Amino acid sequence: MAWLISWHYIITGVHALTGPTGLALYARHPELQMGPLTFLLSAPFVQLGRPADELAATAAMEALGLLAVAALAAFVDRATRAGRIRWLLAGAGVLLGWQLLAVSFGHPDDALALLGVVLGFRSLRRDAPLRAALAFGLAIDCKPWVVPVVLVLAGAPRGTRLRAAAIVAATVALVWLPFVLQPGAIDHVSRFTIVVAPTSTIHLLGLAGPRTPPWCRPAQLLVGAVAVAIVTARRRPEAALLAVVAVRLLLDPGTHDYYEAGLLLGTALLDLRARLPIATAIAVVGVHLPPDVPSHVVLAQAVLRAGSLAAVLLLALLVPLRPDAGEGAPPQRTRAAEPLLA
Amino acid sequence: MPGSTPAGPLRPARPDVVATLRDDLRRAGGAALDRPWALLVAWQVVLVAW
Repeated sequence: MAWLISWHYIITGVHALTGPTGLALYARHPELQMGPLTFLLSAPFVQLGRPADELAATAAMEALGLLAVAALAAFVDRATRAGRIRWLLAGAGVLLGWQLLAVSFGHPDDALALLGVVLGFRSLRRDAPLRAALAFGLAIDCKPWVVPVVLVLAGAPRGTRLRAAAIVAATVALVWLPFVLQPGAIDHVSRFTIVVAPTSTIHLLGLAGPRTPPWCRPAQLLVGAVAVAIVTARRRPEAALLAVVAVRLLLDPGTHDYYEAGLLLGTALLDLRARLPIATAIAVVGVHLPPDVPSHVVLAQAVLRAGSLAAVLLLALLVPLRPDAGEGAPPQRTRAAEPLLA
Repeated sequence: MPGSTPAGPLRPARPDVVATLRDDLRRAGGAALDRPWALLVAWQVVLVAW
């Protein structure tokens, strides 16, 4: 019995890593787009054999989702009912996307990377940029698409920026370099192929076919980095994850449902500081809810999806934010009469 | 007292069902919102079952 759509990638990666392939993992298996740390941490689950591996992995990934939701609590004032309601709504949105990742597809790489990112943001909020750097580095070791997020460390106090950058570089180099230095690895890792989905934004731009345009991954990283630089300059680091995910989804050939975990975690982080949870509402209505549709409405769905992603990206960059209210926030006036979603 | 109507037997006031229900719901809702973890785990179970 197998129900996790993508779990076979993990089995392939773990067997390759622990077998004779070893460090030549990415040179021999270009289809594997997950970080080495993911395979290392997934190995004990794979060793359980079928179907216990999927059962245990699903439970573990669900637990990671709850940990990510728990980390969000640092961004609200839990002493007030309004703060708890904000956290509840944000958590409910995150879990909506997370179950696709954990129960339907089985992507521990994204689960671990997203948890690392949200823990990094929590550390930043607690004035611990070096711990945040470690969390971001480990997240990259699990899944490289989160790379642009580390630019939020540019907003750390001047004295710690260099050390934070060094920690990220060391954490990433230590894990990735032994694999990347293998002959042919870079060539294979960078030349991934995903079929361009008819509901994707790049299909709307007229790029269709079985192969991914070669500019896709570099463009995702570059535009994502620019978006993070903007939110960092605007002193809204909580918007960085949403900016990166929105750019990634706008420029990705695939439209897999499990991408929504990152999207809804990103909208939750933003909405905890926005006046109303508009970003989450747009993501749910425009990206999460539309089911697979018959071919004659594919164009409409592609337009709705692209428009929703562009809208949440704009919100990440521009939406006015409330005064900070979570841990480490400056003290504010009494909140006794605070409306629920003020 | 002369001229006054003798008081009849006291009838219990009819309970305001709507107000009682509203108060109960408000109390239960408030208690649930004070335990967001329980709601989130319940939501997760519903999503997994779905």
